Amino acid sequence: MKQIFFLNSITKFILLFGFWLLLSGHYDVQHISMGLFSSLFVILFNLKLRKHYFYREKLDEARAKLEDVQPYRIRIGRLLYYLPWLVWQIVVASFQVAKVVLHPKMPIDPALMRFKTGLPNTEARVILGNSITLTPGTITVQIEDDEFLVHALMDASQSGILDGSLPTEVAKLYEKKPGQVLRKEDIKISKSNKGAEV
Amino acid sequence: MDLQHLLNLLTIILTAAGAFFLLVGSVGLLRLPDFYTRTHATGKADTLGIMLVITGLIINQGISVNSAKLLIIVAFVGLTNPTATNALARAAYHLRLKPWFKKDKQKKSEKKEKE
Repeated sequence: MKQIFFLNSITKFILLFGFWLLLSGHYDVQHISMGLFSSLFVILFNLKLRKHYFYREKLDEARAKLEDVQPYRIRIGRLLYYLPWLVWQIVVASFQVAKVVLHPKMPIDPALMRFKTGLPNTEARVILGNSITLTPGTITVQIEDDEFLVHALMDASQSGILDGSLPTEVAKLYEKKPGQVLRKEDIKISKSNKGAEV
Repeated sequence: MDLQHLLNLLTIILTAAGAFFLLVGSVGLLRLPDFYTRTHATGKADTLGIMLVITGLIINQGISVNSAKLLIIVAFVGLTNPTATNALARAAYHLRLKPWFKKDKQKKSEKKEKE
């Protein structure tokens, strides 16, 4: 296992260095040595983190094999649909937020939303979390197991989550026909510090 | 008006729109009431702003190595920006920073009026 991890590090190093060469365009000793050093630095800098995730991934794979379930793989074709869709969501939300921020009275109404999703794996949760943060007006504050805590700037920002369209699109990246990803009853919205366990 | 002019015009429109959204982000940072809402402004008005500016630059460059580099920048901004925003918000949450709510604010002002 240690050997595989070492090989994994070497491949990552070569990929990083190749990427540097591709981008730099200057092929003299100074630039190439700079590239070598920085690639090496990056590999060593997040060695611990990568080790953690490497072993966990292997563990998950082994577990999936034991239980004889197909591990979820991201569907590239769906990704080609998802990214433009997300960009469109970002554009729409940006206009909403710009309008509120520039409005003289600034009619914001922040809310904390807590909800659980039925997403298949960690990767999907990360994608959902980042997508929520990317769309203006909503930030993922915390993800714990299945539970998301999201801060929304105003009521209009909540709609993408409330109607379940964003989580469903993320789930579709992994499954053709996802079950119900998010139940409306499960979303808890708090708009006051009183009685909230913040 | 030939194609080059049209492309230049498109570049100018896109970059200007991007600059507008970046400006909105800065205005929001100054105007919004608390940490969480301000993270909204800084972290994300940038998302569309940077995307627009870079798209404009790509159109200006045409199909070249530079455009590819710019595209890679968009991808990296798209990945790192939400991660950093999330780290900020999460840190604030763990320090038990209480978010600003409209309702609480109203109650406070009512109290003041009674006094």
